[in-house]
Amino acid sequence: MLSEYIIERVLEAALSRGGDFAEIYMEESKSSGLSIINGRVDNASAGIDFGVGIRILEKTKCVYVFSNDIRQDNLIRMAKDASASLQTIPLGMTVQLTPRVEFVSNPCILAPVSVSKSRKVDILRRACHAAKEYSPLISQTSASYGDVQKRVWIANSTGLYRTDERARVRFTIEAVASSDEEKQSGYFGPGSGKGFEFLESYPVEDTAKEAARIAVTMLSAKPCPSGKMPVVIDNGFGGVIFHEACGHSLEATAVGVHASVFDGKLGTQIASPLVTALDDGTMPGEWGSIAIDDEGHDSSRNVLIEDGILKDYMVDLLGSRRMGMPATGSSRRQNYQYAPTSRMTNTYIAAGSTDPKDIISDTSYGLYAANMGGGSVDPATGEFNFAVTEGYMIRGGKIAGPVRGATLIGKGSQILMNIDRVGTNLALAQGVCGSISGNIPTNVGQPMIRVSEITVGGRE
Amino acid sequence: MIYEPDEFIALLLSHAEKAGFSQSEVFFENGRSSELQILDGEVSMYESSVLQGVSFRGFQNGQMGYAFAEELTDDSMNFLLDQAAQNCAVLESEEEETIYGGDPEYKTVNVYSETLDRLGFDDFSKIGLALEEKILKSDPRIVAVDHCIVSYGNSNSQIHNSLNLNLSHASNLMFVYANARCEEDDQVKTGDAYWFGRDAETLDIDKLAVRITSETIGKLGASPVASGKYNIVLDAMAAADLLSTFCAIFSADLIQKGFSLLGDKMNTRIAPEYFSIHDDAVMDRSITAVPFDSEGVATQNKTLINKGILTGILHNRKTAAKAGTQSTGNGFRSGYRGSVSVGPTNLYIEPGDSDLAALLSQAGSGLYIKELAGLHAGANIVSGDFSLSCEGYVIENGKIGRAVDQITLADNFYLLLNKIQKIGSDLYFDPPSDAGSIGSPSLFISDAAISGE
Repeated sequence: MLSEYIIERVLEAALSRGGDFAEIYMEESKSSGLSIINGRVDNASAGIDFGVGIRILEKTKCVYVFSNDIRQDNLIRMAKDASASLQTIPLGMTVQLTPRVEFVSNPCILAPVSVSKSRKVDILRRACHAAKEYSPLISQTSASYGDVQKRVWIANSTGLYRTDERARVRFTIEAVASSDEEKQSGYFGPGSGKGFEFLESYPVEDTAKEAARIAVTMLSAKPCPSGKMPVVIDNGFGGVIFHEACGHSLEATAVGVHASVFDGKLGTQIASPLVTALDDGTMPGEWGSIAIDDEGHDSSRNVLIEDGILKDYMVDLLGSRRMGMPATGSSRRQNYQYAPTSRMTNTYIAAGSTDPKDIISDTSYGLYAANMGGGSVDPATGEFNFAVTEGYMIRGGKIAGPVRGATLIGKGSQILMNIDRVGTNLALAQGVCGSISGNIPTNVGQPMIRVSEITVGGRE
Repeated sequence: MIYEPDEFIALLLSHAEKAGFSQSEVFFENGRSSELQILDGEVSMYESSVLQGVSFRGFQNGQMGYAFAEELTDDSMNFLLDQAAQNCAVLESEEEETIYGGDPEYKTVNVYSETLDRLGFDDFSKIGLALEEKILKSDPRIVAVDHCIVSYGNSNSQIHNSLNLNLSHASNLMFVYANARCEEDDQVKTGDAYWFGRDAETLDIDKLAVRITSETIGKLGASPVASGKYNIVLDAMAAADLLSTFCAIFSADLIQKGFSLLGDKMNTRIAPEYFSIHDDAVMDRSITAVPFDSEGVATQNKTLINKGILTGILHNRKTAAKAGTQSTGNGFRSGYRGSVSVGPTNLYIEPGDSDLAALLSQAGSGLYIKELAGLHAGANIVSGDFSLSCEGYVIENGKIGRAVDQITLADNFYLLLNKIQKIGSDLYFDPPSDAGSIGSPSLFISDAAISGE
C-alpha cells in the first residue's frame, strides 16, 4: 500500500494547479458469490477490486480521477492532470498527514474470506430444500450467497488519514410456484453488516418457506383493482416507501442544487405529526451501518423528521459547501470508481403507538401491502412508484383475498402528510440502493403504517 | 512486480496448465473514460479514469471455475488460480462448460472512431456548456438544468485461451444527456433526452436542446385520467424500455431452468402475425455491432419471433450443449467481473409501416404513453406481470391532447403481445448497455388497464 510520504506528495500534486481540497481513497475489496438453482450449484465466483480515486474540490467544483494502476508516477500524473482541469490559481498548499486512525465498521467473528465455500453452499442448500418442500406447487428454487470484505484508506489535504474495515454477507432465496399457465415468485434477501456468523444463526428455512408461501399465495391471487384507496403497508421492507418517497429528496445531492421538493423546508411540517424518521449509520452490525463515511467522517444518527417537522438533511462535503450546513457523515460510494456523495445508511420511520391489528380492523376498504418490491423516485418532483409483491384486499376491517400486480404511485410530499396510522412493530429490511455514486447497502424500515389515499395501479 | 497485460496473460495461461486446469481462458478488458457535468454555466464535475480487469476461467473436475482481479501482480495470479480451482470444487453444473477454439471467419465491424477518441476536456465542456445555455434560454418556464452530462468511453476486450484463440474487439461511444426542470402554477416537472453516437459531427446541440425543452414543458398541466381500459400508443422509447425488461425470457438459460414461460412455446403462436422480433449482432442501424461473443463464437442474425410464431431462443455454448444444438453466439459477460451467461446483441421488434401520426389516428381516443418508470421493481420476468408508473398525453380524435401523469399501466407481457394492433415504422434503440441494445418502434395496443383517478 502507499506510504504516507507518497500520499502527501499525491495530494500536493492534486492541488498543484488549482483546488482548495484534495482527497485520496484507496480500496481493496475481496468478494465471493455462489448460487444454487433447482438444487445444483450453478455459479461460483470470486474477485478482488483494487484501485485508487483522487478527488479535488475548488469551492463547489469537483474533479475525480480513478485508476487501478497505483504506481507512484501514474498517481502523481493523474493528480496533476486533474488539478490542471480546474483552470484556477494554485494556493501552493503543503500536506502533512496526522497519524493514521484505524476503524472497523463491521467486526466479524467469522470473516467471510476465512469460511470454506462448502459451508456457504450448505446455507443455500438448506434454503432451497425448505422452499421446495413447502408445497408441490413449488416448481423452481434459486438461492444465492454473496460476501464482501473491504479495506479502505482515506486521506485528505486537511491531514485526515483513516482506514476502515468493512464486511457484509447476504443470501437471497426465490421460489417459483407454477400452475398450468402461470408462474408466480416469492423472494427474500436478508443481509447483515456482520461476518458469516450472521448466517450460521439465521433461520434460513423459515425465510425460504416464507418466499415459497408468497409464491403459492400469489398463484391464486386475482388481479389488483385500480384507483385511489387507503393502503396499509406492513413493516420491514415496506419502509421502501419512505426511502423512495422522501429519503432521496432529503439527500444533499438533490437539496444542494435546489432539485428537491423539500429544499427550503427545514423547520416546517412536511409529514403527518405521527411521523418521526431517522437515518442512523451507527446501528451496530446493521446492513447499512458504517463507522466512518467515505470521506472519513464519523457516521452519525440523524433525525430527519420529528413529529412531522423537517429537522435535517443528509449532507456530504460538497453538499455542505453548497448548502452552508455541516456534513452529517452521510458520504458514500460503491467503490473507488465513484466520487462519494450524500446517501442513506439505515433509514426508517420510528415506531408509533397503534397496535397493527387495530390498523387493519379500522380499515373498512383498502389494500394491505404485506411485502414490497423496490421502486424509484424523481427527487425534483417527488413522484415515486413502488411494487407490491404480496398484497391483499381489506374488506370490513378484515384481510380478504390476495391480489397481484399492484404498484403504488404518488408524490412523496402528499404521501407523508397522508400517513394516518403508525404501528408499534418497527422492523428493518435490507436493500441495495442505486444512485449517482453507485450501488450501496442500505436498510429501509418502518412499523406498519396506513396511508389514507394512494393511487394503486392494478389490472382490474 | 506489476506486469504488462500481454506478459500477465501469457504467464497466467501457462501457470494454469501446471495448476491442473485442462482448459483455461483469459478475458482481459481495459479502457479509458471521462465524464463532465455542467451546472450554472461551469464545469461542476469532471471525472476521468483508466481501468483494467482480468477474468480467468479454468476447467477442472468437470466444472468451469471463474475468478477476477484488477491488479496485474503475482498475488493476483495466485488468487485467480486458487479461487477458480476452489470454485470448480463446489460447482455442480450438469452440462460441461468448455472453451472454444474459434470460428474460421468473423464479420468485420467498425465500432471504434479514432476521431472521437481524440476529443478531450475542452471539446466536451464546449458541448455541455452550449447545451445547458440553450435549454435555459429556450423558455421562461425552464428554471434549471439539474443534470447536464457529456461522457466518453473506450474499451478494448481480449480473449486468449488454451485452444490458441486470440481475439480482440475495440469500441468507443460518446453520450450527451440533460435533464431540465420547469415550473408553472406550483407544478414542477422534469424532462430529459440524450444523444449517443460515434460521430460527434452528427450531434445537433440545438435540436437536442429543443427536444429536452419540449419533453419538459410538455408535461406542464398534467393530471391523471380516470381508471379504466384504454387504447394506448406506447412510444418507441417506452416500448424499447419494456422490451429491455422482458427480453431475458428469450434466454435458453432461463428457459432451461424453468424461469421463462416460453419453455414449451417453441413453434407456437405467441403474438399476432404482423409481429416479429430479431436479434442481429451486426445490423447497420444499431450503434453497436459485435463480431463474436465473450466465448469467441461468431455472432449471427436470428429471428426469435417470426410473424407471431416463436422460432428461436438465445444460446451460449453451455445451454446449446444441453439442448443438443449450436451456440447462437449469445454467450456474453457483463465485463470481467461476470461469468459467461446468455444475452442479446441488437434485439428489436421489426418495424411496420405506420408512422406515429397514423398510429395515433388509428387509436382515435386513448393515451399516448411516453415514459415508463420503475421497471426494475414493477415488472416480474417470471410471471410476465407488470404495473408501471407512466406519463404521457391524452389522444383525442387521433391527435395528441393534454398531458397526463400519476397513472399506471398494468398488464402481463405475454398477454400484451396479443393486444398489439399496429406496429409503427419508427424503430428506436435504447442506449447500449452490458445487456445489449434493445429496440422497438411505437406500438398501438388496445384494452390496456390504466389506473388513475
